[in-house]
Amino acid sequence: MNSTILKTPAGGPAFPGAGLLSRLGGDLLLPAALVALLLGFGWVEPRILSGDNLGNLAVQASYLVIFATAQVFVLVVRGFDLSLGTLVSLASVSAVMVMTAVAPLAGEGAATLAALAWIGLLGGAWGAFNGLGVAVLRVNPFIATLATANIALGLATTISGGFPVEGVTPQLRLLLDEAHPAGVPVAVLITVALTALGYWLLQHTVLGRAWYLIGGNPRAAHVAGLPVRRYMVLAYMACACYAGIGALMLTARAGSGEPNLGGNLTMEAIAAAVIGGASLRGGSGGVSAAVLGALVITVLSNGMNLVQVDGYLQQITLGAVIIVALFADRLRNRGAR
Amino acid sequence: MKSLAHRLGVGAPLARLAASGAALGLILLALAGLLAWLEPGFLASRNLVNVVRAASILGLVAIGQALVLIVGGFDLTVGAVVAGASVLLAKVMLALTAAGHGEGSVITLGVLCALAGGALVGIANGVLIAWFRLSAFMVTLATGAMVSGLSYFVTTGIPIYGMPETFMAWFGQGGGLPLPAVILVWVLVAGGAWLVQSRSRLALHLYATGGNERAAAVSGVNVRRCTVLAYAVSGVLAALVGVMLSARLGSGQANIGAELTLQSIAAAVIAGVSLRGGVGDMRRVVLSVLFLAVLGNGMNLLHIDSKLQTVFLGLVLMAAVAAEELSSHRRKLA
Repeated sequence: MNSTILKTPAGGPAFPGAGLLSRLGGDLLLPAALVALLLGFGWVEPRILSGDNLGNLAVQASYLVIFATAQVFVLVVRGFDLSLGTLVSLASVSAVMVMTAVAPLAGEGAATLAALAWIGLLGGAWGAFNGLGVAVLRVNPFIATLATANIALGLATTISGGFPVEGVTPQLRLLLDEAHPAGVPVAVLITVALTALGYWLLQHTVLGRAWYLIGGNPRAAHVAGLPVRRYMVLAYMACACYAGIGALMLTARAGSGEPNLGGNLTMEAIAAAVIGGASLRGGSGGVSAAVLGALVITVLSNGMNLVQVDGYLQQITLGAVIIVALFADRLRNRGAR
Repeated sequence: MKSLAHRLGVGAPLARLAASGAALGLILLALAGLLAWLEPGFLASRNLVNVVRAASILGLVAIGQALVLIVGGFDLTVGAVVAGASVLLAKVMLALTAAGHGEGSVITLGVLCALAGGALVGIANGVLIAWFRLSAFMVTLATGAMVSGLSYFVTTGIPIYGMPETFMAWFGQGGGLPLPAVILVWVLVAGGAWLVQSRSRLALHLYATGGNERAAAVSGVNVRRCTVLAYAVSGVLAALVGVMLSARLGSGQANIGAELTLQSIAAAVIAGVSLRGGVGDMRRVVLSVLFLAVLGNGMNLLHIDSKLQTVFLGLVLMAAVAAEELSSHRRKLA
């Protein structure tokens, strides 16, 4: 979708407007499916469409939107981040430890700021670490981030001893979880801001456009004189920073640093991005993919919970949805060609 | 785009070492020697049997995984298939026993059903990937989630007991044999895999499929059949591990094997199997699995915290792949 401007048109559309039509069809398919899903669940269980539950849904979805957006940054450069989930655990545990260390010395306000700074530092460093493995040592992203995922998991469980770490400051909870400016949960506001930033980064900066070129055709990007390696490292850094912010938000919500906070997040984030239309082949997909995919997954799980579908059956359904999304992606690409 | 290490000039000697399969064998021997020196308990026959048993469980799965990687694919279902086969086996055995069948037919049919289930998952993966050209990573992620969800749904997470005693005695302990059955099975399967790799036309087709799919197809290789075959074999081997583990545990369980998925990929990659397909040697896969088993056992014997062990494994994986990348770079330049 987004990569169309970078692709050379291999053949014209079959008839005038056909390209536009199929593109519109492709772009509207998912929102339509989402609405149908909501209405379908609402028909079976009216509580799903209640204002309370919709607000709940928005908050639940917001975390996954952030993690899926993080994943999109690296998917665009034909990458991958399997370490996202365990990084979330590491960020959660270590940020709370930073807060407990700083609070007695400089007060809770300073501790909150220190935690925020620490997340920026950790996210940047971790992303650079992943990016170095992938772009400079040229290790396959799957293996490089699998290795760093193990490292993050080991660190998170070692420093916490495997137990939740207490000591989240009230300010952090207020700032990232409890505040409701103008009646909107702050988690939703942060997510909107982060997705807007992500959209701007991907669509309106040289860096973002370069990411698409690198993912679509790395050789062309190299020949065009782009600093491919540096830009790829930056993509992994953006991914890890977003993951870190999401981790801090989840920590504020949970009220403690959790060594297994990341759990299934890696796979859920990748699934969300792919359901939304990001491709593992790089060069395509955008923030909208992350938002739509995360919403589909959240609506599905929220709806199935309220209709009291067994949790294991939900897992089976999610698997089936991923396969359907892959077929849809295949068809859409065939239409574009 | 030269790699950092290459520019620093440390590539050549490292690369030559990594390129020869002997390096892995030497590292394995050195590691075993070091362990025997630090902790004499390592050489106790009971400990050695334990190491090889752990290796054989991972080894069976890793052979299937390596095969899938060689045809240019990816199999994230193996862990789920191990559990699914275990549950299916127990369910079928219980049903047949309840229907009044003799032990012999209960065991034979149960095992065959489990293996067929594994094959079925593999074939489904292969068809989705080879025919419909969907991403192997996402397809196997999704089917793995479905198989695992199904096993938990069927068992509600509770182990299924009541398999025939003879089954546990033979498949779990090896009957009257001196070694656990799973080790013998691994030796047979690895030997078979090596024979196929070194003596058959099929192997050429498999490598060609992974190396350059289009060229292989043009040369008359049935690329789709090769791909489906690789996934099916991987599914059957994972199911076999499910059978062996169930026999040892004495129950069908939905929560076993999950860690084998990523471990098998790590083992194959450390063995030098390329994630880009077309490259891989079963002998090195066996060495790599033994290496990982010895490493894990050694860290346990030396009382290294299990949480730190994960960090260490991550570093080993990274180092192995970086070395491999250097060596392939070297070969390309030569």
